[in-house]
Amino acid sequence: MNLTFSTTACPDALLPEATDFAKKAGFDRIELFRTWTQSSPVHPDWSVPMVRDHLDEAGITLTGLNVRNVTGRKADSDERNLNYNVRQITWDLHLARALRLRVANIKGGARTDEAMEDLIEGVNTLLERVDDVTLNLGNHAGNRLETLEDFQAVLPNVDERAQVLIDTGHLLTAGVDVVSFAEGVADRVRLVHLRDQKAEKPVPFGEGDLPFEELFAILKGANYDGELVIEMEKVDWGDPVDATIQAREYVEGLL
Amino acid sequence: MDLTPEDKAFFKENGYLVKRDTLTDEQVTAGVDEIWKHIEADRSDPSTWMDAGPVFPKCGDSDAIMAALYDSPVYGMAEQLVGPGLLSRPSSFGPKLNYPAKEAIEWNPGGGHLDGYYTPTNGVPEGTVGRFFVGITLYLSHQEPEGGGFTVWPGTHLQAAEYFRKHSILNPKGGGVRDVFDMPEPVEITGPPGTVCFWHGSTVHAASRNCSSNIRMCMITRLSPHNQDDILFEFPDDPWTYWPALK
Repeated sequence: MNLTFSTTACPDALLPEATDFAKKAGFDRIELFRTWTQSSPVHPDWSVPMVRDHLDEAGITLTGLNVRNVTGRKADSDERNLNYNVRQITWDLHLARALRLRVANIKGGARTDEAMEDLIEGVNTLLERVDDVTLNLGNHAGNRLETLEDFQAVLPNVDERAQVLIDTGHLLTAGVDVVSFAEGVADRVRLVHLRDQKAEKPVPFGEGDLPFEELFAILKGANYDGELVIEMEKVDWGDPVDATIQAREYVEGLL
Repeated sequence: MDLTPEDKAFFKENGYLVKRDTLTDEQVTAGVDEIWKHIEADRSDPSTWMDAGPVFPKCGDSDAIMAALYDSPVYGMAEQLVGPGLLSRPSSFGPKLNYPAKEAIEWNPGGGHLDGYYTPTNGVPEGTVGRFFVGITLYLSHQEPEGGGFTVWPGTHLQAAEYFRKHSILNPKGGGVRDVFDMPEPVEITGPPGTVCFWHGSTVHAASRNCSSNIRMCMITRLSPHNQDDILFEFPDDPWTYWPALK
């Protein structure tokens, strides 16, 4: 398992600042977000080739891109329009491909039956349209993909190139049992986002409710060899770089 | 109808190329007749043409219209700009009409823009850009100056190539680049029926105001390379890297 730095630790940092942060914290792998962070590869002042060149020069490997969600709705009017939404995400997948990735992380829409239908159809359509990528379907508190039951409803109905992203922070926020969830999806896990929390509040790794050792045992039992993405969000207990170093060392000590 | 080296050099420098006499009289007549089936006005009464509609008659896939693209030299000339077999073959050649105005208006070139950018009404999904290589605008009407002709801003394709090497392709909101590019004097394309303008997908363009009493009748299509998805974000130092016919 490899450790990857998540730009959740520095959402306001431009890409060079984010890669500096990652290197100071001892990482040579990074995951980016299409939206939300200033290190987005579609930041106004950055072309995609500039992003690639910068990562190469910094000696940082891009391991993943979080793209827009399969909500089944138009972003600007909230009208139900799966085709429009799929066209948006198709574009994001080509962005990922331009960044030399063949995988992207994605979540669902609202917790409605309609959003479930659109999620299943949308994922299958995306995988059909872009036939050389895989998708990691991530859980998220309040999202159509929140619980084990949600994944059990979706996974049998989507192409096998749709895999699972376990996001521990959102499991803890949603009050979902992490061990049961991991056991339930172990055979299709392709990515893990690690964040320790006390209830909904991020805390230093090892001080929260995340059962690291049990989770890692499940992953090892499933022969998981993917990324463990260290997510340091809303660090208010110290210097973010130091907190990230502590988190990395804590995880390394368990592997 | 072969493009000459001078034609190709002109396109490379200016981002557009005008060729004439691409359609037979029969093709022009058939196309005009087809479009008139969809216009909400009296063909024999020009007074009803003012501010008529629709702007986009839904007959772009009719035999008469498609013949103007494929049973003429037009598509083949577009291929000569990029390379044989490298471009998409559209299944529609959408008419776009520019009607004369009821009120007297002063000519202006219209709002120059790049195509493929999101606006709340144009159907392009937010946060995406649809690039293409060659646009084709083919006149069925006789276009006099200030008659609502297709208008281009020469050389802006090269400014775009430079700009997008260092900025996000998403940047120009709605495709508007007036605050980004150094805008040259626009050129309104005029000429008899069968006049065609090939324009680079990054050439700033617009439909100018129609100050005449005639309807501007043209068809427009946009041709993408088959590997468009693989090069969507690429703006190499040599802007003709993916145009083997112009390298």
